[in-house]
Amino acid sequence: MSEAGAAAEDQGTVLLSVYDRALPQVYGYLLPRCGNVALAEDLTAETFMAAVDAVRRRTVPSMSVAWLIGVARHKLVDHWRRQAREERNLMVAHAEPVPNDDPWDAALDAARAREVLATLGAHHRAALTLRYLDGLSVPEVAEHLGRTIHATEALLVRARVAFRRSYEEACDDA
Amino acid sequence: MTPDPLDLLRQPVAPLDPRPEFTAELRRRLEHELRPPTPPGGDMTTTFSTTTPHIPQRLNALTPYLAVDDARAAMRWYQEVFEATLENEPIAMDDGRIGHCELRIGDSRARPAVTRWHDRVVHRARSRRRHRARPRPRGWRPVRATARRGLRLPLGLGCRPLGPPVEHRHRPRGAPGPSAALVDVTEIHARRAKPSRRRKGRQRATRRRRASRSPARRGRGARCRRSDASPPGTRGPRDLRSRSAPT
Repeated sequence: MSEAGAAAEDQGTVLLSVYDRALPQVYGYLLPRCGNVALAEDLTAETFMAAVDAVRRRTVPSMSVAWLIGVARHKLVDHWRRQAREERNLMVAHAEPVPNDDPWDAALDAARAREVLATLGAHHRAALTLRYLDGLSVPEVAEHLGRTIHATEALLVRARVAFRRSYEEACDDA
Repeated sequence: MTPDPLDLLRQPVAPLDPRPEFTAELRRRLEHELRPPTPPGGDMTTTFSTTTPHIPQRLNALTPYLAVDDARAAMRWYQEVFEATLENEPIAMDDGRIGHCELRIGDSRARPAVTRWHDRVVHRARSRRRHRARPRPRGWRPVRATARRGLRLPLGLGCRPLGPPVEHRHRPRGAPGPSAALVDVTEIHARRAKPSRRRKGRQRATRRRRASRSPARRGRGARCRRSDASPPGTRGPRDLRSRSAPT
């Protein structure tokens, strides 16, 4: 067995030893963000399989829970990207309204806000989740979504407008 | 900068236990994927593959395998004419014949050997009358004149054909040319020194013709001059062509 092979085996052992600790974290990260047990399980499995693949290709910088959550975030973004593609296929593309991003200082009801978030389109949901739920900076969000920073800023503005509209509708209904 | 109301959505990761079945199943999958690779030959998941060349290292892409009647004579002949070197000790069979040996000519090898099948064919070819009477070996049939091109080289070297070229029944469909032509290579050396029977006959005819024209040229002198003019072993292509089409 070569040294590289032995290193890969070591990383594999670390992955298995960290599994019990990492699984609730990864699952706990994914479930509230996708809001669906089956989907969360799928994405969790995808995350760990990606980790195995990375171990084999010896591209893991250091096997840790934080690294696994990073992988999970990528998997989540991949999921939303797939979903957005499906939504695009299903819906006739409609021009999004020109956003006017006036400061909105209403105090939000967190629980209702999450419900509203779940009703948004996948691309808006992805941007808002990464930006606010995960607390990433705009450049980090841009990197995850594979967009430029300017495009991401514009997307976030549109997402906030869409969120606000949905939220206010939800408040009116209530 | 005003605080963004959406900052309220901030949700740090809170550990959540998935279903126990899911936990166990995923662990089983991980262990299966991460188990140490099995020794060479048994690992089905490795992505690294080594290609094994189908040509053995010590051989070239083409290695003639010759089945000859008298392997020892063939070895001697190749060593003498082509300066072949014997690669390893010939394998002698119980009856004293050579079962296998390897000769190197330049950078290539030849492997003369005797086979029972070949013995039968040679034996058959020796007697023309018997050859006609006997049925052909299974799977072989004679080929037409176009297929005889392959015989030119050995015949050019002075080999004697042993019967017509043969074509194997199981060769790929549409493949041109004969599969095999039996050529006696062992007799070349001996025959190079002495004129063929046909040649003898022609010489005799010439002598007779000349004798009828000028009686002064009769005798030994005429024969000597004749052989000086065309020494054995330099037969022309016309002669060979006539030999390559046995009747």
